[in-house]
Amino acid sequence: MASPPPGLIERQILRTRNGLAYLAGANRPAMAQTPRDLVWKRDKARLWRYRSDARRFRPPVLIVHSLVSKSYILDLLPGTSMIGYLLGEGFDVFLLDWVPPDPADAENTLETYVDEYIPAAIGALLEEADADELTLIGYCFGGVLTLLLAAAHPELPVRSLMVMATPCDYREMGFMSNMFRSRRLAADDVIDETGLVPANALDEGFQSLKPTEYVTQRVNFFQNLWNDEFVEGFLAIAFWARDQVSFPGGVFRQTVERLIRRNGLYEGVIAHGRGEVRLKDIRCPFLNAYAEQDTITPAASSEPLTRLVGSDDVSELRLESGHIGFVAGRQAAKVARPQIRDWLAGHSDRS
Amino acid sequence: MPPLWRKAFDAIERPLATGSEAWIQSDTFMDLATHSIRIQRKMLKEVQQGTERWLHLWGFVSRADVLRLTNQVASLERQLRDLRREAEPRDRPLLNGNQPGAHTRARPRSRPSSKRRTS
Repeated sequence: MASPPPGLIERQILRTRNGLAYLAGANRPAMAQTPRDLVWKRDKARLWRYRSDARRFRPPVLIVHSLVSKSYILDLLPGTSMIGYLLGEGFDVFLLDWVPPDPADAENTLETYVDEYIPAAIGALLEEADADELTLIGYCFGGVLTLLLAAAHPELPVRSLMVMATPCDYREMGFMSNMFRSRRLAADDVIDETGLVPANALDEGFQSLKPTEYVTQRVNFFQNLWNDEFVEGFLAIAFWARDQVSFPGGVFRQTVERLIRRNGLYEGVIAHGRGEVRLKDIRCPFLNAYAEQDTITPAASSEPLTRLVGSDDVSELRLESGHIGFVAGRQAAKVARPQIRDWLAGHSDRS
Repeated sequence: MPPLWRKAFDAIERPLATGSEAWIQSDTFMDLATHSIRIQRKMLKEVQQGTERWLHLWGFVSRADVLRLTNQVASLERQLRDLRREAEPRDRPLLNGNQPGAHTRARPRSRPSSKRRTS
């Protein structure tokens, strides 16, 4: 049975204690604690396999992380970790993430990831897990990469594909997208001398989507400062949200031209390599998961994906949460994860 | 039940949030932001060039020198990666002999105008 909430005086004492710890920087939570092994690496791409003694489902699951943030959001805190949850449910979880790019990665293109790194990582995964196929999950911009991969490489043994908080209609992506779409800004206006889009430019772009959010978050923090669980979650998410990474200029130029200006994903046809790929060529079972209150990838941007892929087995999961509601927070634990688990289990075999 | 101070904050914040979110989507704000970004870049460039000249006058290394070196090292690393790529394709059983991007369709010379969306 849950203990009753503390009284007014007790709250003030807890608030003072947690406030002092916060000011002293003493209550930074430990993140990304799930044990894992690096099983493959190429340039800045890393493939991790999470340790588990309870693998019950086949094929293994590969989560492809975004290029615009750090992957520990998927394994934020013990007990609320998305990866920890999937492991506990019996899935064999792999994560493909990216070391923050440096100038050597500035000329990377979408093709570098879609035609080179991800297929190579899939090869390494199949060998490591001794599997013939895999389930693919893409988070945020990682979803864009997995969509392009599934459309461009039907020869890859992808049994099913799930995308989470993945942008599609870039007309709905808000201020920064509109700046490029209306040609007020060119991609090169935000690319620095090293060929990268600096992390602070992305951070400012995300913050501009909700100008009052910064103050509101601090007010929420103060109001709940007495609550240890809230403070831990808040600090972890706030730290992650500010821990942005640079973005390769080559991919950014293509994103502006192909995805923002031509709105290629929404049109269903995206320039790729010397040709183009079509979302209709994605034939594997598909789940489009997106969040109602997402300000980074608004629901209106993700929603069209459901009808754009060519699969006969298409599902949609619409959540009442924000961008990270899939992977962290109460909404994730209560609603998102069980539904994601059900879909994954329904498209896997018990071993 | 939220405390009174919170209710007061929300009463102010909500209309302010709605207004500011609408304002940043307006043409006026986007024009202002564009000019601001361009002016910032121009000013930064001029300050950096001035500092570089001054540092070189005294025989010091400037940020631009370090950047040039960084970019040269990056270029070397890219060339190494290209060499590795050239050496590798023979050993890719996963793609069943297909070259990467094998399923891409040739791009038509001109896309039908109905497919294009204008802002």
